[in-house]
Amino acid sequence: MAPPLCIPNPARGRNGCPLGPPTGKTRRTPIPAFPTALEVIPAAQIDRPFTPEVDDVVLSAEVEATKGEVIVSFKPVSALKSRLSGVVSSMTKAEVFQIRRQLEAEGVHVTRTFSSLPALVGTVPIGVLPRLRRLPYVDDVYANDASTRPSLSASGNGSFGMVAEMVDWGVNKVGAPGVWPLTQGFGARITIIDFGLDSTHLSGDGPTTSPLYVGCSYAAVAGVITSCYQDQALIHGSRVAGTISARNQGDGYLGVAYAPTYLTSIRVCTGTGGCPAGAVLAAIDWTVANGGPRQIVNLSFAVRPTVPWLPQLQVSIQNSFAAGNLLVGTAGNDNVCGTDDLGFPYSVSPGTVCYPGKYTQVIAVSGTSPTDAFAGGGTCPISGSAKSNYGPEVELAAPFHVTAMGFGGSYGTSCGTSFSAPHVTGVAALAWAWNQSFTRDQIRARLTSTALDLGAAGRDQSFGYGRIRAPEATFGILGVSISGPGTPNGSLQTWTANVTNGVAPQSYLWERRHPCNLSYSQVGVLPSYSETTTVGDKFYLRSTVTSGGRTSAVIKLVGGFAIC
Amino acid sequence: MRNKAIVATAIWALTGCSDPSPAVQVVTRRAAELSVEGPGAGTAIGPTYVAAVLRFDAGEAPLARNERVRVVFMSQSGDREEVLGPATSMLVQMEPGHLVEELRSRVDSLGWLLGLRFLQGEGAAVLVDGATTVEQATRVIGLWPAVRSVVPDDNSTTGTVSPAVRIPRSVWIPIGVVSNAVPGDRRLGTTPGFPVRAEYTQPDGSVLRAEFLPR
Repeated sequence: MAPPLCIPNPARGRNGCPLGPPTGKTRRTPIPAFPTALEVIPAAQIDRPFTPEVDDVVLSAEVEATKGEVIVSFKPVSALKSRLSGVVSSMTKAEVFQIRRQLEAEGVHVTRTFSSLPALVGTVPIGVLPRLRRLPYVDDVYANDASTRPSLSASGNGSFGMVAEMVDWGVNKVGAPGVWPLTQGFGARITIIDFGLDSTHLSGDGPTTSPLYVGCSYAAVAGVITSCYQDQALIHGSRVAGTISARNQGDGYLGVAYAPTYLTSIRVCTGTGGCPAGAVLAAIDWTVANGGPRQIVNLSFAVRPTVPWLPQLQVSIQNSFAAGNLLVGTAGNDNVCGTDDLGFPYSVSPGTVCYPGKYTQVIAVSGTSPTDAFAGGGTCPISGSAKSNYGPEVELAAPFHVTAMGFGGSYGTSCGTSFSAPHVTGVAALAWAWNQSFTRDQIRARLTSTALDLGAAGRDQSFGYGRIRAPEATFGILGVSISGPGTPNGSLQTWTANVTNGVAPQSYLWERRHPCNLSYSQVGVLPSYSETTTVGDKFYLRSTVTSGGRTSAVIKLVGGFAIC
Repeated sequence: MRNKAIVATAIWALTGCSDPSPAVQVVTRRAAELSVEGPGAGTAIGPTYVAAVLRFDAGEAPLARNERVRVVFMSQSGDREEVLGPATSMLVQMEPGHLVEELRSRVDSLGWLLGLRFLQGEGAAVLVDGATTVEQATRVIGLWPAVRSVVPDDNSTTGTVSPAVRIPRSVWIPIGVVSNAVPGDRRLGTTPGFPVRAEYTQPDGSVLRAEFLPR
């Protein structure tokens, strides 16, 4: 059994775990399937005896009926305080994200979190339930009875100030939630050249702080002659914009970088789905003279290699690059790049990356599945044949399918590298916002050097340098080393965890085991660990540091090897 | 088609070319919908044009490269203009130090439109009427002074969403808008606040009608 997980708890005035086993486990009468208010539990119920075996059976049956969907309530100090005082207090985001990540490690697929409610909603394998309930920081687990669950649009924004936001799997996969406690992208500028953005989202989940966006307004800036009305084509642009930057306003899905300084959505594509070359060129041209520092330009479109205006596209890309913009494009899908003159998909050979992703100035992004496999078919939930292109120009990989904003204020799922690129754009915004002195090339290098290497070692045609990782790209690779004596001398000795690229809040876990014993015991939660040693003793010290959405561990052998 | 003849004559006179590319062919297709639109909402360039948009039934074959359909524009002033579409959009890049505005008089004289302008001012899309082929437009514009390059615009760029599907092509047929009405001059005389009407005659003789109110 894994050692107890450490929950950093700023309310205690230090970063640490509760020492000793959890106590006071209770099983309550199931609360309504989806809470409409923060429940204050009477003290009598808190003290009710815990009967694990019976409850496990009952809970398993209940959860089976909801197809594995559960509400997990947890009990950091702030939540316990709420119950004792009857006053609702907010958890810190750090607490929420730490717990969320640890629950995910236990097999929970999180579908909804709350900023003010010590609970989350997710799905879980039935067999995991007994263990899940006994985790030290889990208060209890309830079946989420769908029959009484309010609709998505009705959730959150209640009179209790509860904020309900869902986080799509891809946003989780790239680790954006681990960065949000420290930056949500403010300081970076994002420009999206696409189909515009459904204006019905603007008063709700639409991206935030956008003086220049959106929809058709670009026509006013550059005189782009294009259709300008609400249509289904906006789904594409809305999905892209939502994945990058849907804001945290209490409903829908959070974007990777949900609070950039500026977000501009330039509509260049018509209602029928094609994008006039002139509009594309003019929009890229706009990024040369506009946008300002730390601008990331998302190019989720594909151009076939035989268009007559390819030289003009190359010049536009070069100009935008020379202006200091970070350009993010796509590999393309289905061995297709754009259309022919009659609107039919234009086939290309396997291993071909579409323009503009093919240009060296553009980061070409391929697609990945939830298990970090290459999205080469069979990973898209709405089309088994959907697959990512690949090729030598692929530089990074990111989630291939998304659930995000759509047409008419709705949400939905789409597949394609059109939605992989926005993950990279969002992560780049987080990284650049955090490292504002970095040049464009430094940010690009940071994105690639910190990606999770997948497939063949190093850069390859499917994943490029690997799948994008927000915490690593933003803060750098977390490094941990242990300094301290290597030989017990019979007195009090101290070992210290040295952390590189760490950010607050940061938690530590020290564990110790004898070389002949396979399991570790938790011995400390502070940056340093001290012990009155015994001459001749031999043991391993493991220091695990969790910081900014990353966890890293290192082991030090003290006293030398032992013969068991 | 007096207008078409005028344009063709002008083009051949300008290019000195006696070997024309395949001529445009006027066809009829069963259309599902006709609408009329103007420049984007809030645009700064004003109602310099209106455009008819024809959407075809899914089963209809797309228009071939030189095929055109005919739409009639009418206004309250009594102006009536027959226009072939789709219009051809040509991307024009000027030599350094020159601006696309230098082309305006030439564009106007042919009844074409100076459409999208790049912010740098060195490039633009010239909207060529449907009676002129891409090859003809390329030759004409290529001969204008200070023009560095000219290539046909196209609509083949798509979002990289999967699975890929055929994108139905609607036909976009713009016409320039002016204040004075001269029937047959390939400009529609109208006044903001009064509706512009477009008509398209289906293969069976029935007529699709749509209106637009320029602001």
